[in-house]
Amino acid sequence: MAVQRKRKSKMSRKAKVRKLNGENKVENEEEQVTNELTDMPTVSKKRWTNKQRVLIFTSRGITYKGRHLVKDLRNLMPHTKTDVKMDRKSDLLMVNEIAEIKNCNKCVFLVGKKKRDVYMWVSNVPHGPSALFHMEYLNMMDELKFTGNCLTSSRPILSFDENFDTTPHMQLLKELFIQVFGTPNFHPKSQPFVDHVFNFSQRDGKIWFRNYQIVEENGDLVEIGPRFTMTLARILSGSFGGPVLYINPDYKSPNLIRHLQGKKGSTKYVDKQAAITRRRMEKTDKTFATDETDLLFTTSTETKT
Amino acid sequence: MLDTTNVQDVIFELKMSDMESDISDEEFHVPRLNEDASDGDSDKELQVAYASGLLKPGLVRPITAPAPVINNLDGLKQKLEEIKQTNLEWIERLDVTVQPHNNKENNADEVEDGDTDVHNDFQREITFYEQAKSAVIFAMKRLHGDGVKTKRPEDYFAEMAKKDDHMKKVREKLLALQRQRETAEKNKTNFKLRKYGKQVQHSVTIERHQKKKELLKSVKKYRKGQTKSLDFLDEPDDKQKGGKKLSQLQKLQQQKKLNPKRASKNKKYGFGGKKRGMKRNNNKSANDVSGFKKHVHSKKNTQRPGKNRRVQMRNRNK
Repeated sequence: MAVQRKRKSKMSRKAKVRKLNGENKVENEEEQVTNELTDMPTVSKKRWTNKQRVLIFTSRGITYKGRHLVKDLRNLMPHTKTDVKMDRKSDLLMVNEIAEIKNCNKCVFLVGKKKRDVYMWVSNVPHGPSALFHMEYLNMMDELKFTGNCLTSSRPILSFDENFDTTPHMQLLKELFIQVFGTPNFHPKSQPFVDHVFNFSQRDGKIWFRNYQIVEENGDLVEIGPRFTMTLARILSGSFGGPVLYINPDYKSPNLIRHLQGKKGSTKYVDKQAAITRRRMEKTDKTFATDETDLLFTTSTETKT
Repeated sequence: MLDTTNVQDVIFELKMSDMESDISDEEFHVPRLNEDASDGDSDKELQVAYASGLLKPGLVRPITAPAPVINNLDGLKQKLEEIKQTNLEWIERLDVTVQPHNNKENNADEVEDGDTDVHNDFQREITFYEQAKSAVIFAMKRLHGDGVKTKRPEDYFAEMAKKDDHMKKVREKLLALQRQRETAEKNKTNFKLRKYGKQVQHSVTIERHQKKKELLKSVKKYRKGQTKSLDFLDEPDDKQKGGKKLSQLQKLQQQKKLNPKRASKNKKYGFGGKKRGMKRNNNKSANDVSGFKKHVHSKKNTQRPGKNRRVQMRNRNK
């Protein structure tokens, strides 16, 4: 498209120059030359209606796994853009502005904390909602255990389990995921054919993500990767802000989990000491029953030696 | 007179407990409900309680306040209405929700009561696989119904998510795994065959020796004139009463009756088998710490004394 436009403007400029020079005859030869590739009408023209653009990027201090996840998602989703790592952690509203600059209406923002925890924001940019997840069990597409493969930018089928229809907050998340992870039909960069599935299912209070290749259309699948689980922390009504719509009561922050784990271990010494004292208390001082009269004739000199 | 300082401490501790609940949460800005007003423990009440002896410093321990429960159903529904893409057809979104009954048809034997163990990796992945499978079957049917091409033709080349060199690595790994499995299997069968062959060979040699011995004995007897017949020179029949020939191994098993003393000693000290590597450590022995003596093996103070110390000692030696 861009090339076409450029050509047009060039032509018009040439025509203008000709006019100025008083050359009125039009060179038909040059007009008729067409480039098969650039002048062909694009497939997506007027058919690309669902215009989702997703900004995927991270904060600074993300672990290598988060970085690879961004790489993999970018690889699989043609409707995404990325940006440099965001420096400021506190000002989340900046993300909205960055997305706007990048002309994106959805955002996936990964936050790294303490050099080990990865969080993910999924947001509908100008007006919300946005959801915060804690990411665990990240496995990358580069791992050799995933043997499947698919086209870089073919459209995935999005598979959800029945839990996504039960409660309002899950319904909202499902809608958000469909809009973020689904590649729009006739997206200029997308490939035709459907050869992989994104599988979302809820187990154990977490949302598990899997990506399978469709080998045979009767349902023969091979995993491609990446894998991860998302634990919902909260849903906000705005994009990266606004009133809280939902807080997951079962969510425990990794900090808290580590703290409790540490506390569990810390009583080890105290317990051991208590056991020792208990054992001492239970021990009786009494030995065999003795007759006091046996000691009657023991003198002090004998006891000394 | 009332000791106010202690009461102050108690109040301080209570307030600290409220603060801790905030710290334990993430650094993200979340509005917290201020709950200490509803708690009902005013300063006066605490003072009274302390004066009456109900309250002691040791009795108070910090309790972290539970996180507030927020589930704004109306708000969630409203947001869902806002972002819903009602004008789009299914083909634009390609979403499939797999119903449980739909799922159960395919794997009735796998899932019991629709409940699987999450921590069982294999079982969990199977359920995910089944879900994706039924989603694919559903979606493919619908796509074919709409006349959308889903299968990539053989001659359609395009950039793949995993590049060729990566897929080569994957293939190599799979091949290596297969090879490993095959060699392991082969080694196992070879080992068994070798053991069996050895046993057979052993039995054959024993039998041969025995035959020779008997033959010699009979020859001796014949020479001395104890027997007249030369029947022993004919090949003896290996046939049993039933007429069936015994295999070498069966013969060996029949013959092999050690004297009881030898048998018991063998049982006690062991007989045969591999001697090599018997003294080497294995997993069990490495974990066995019964030989560890604290007074012998524990770490002595090996720390080097400080600079001043060393200088002093050097001076003392001079």
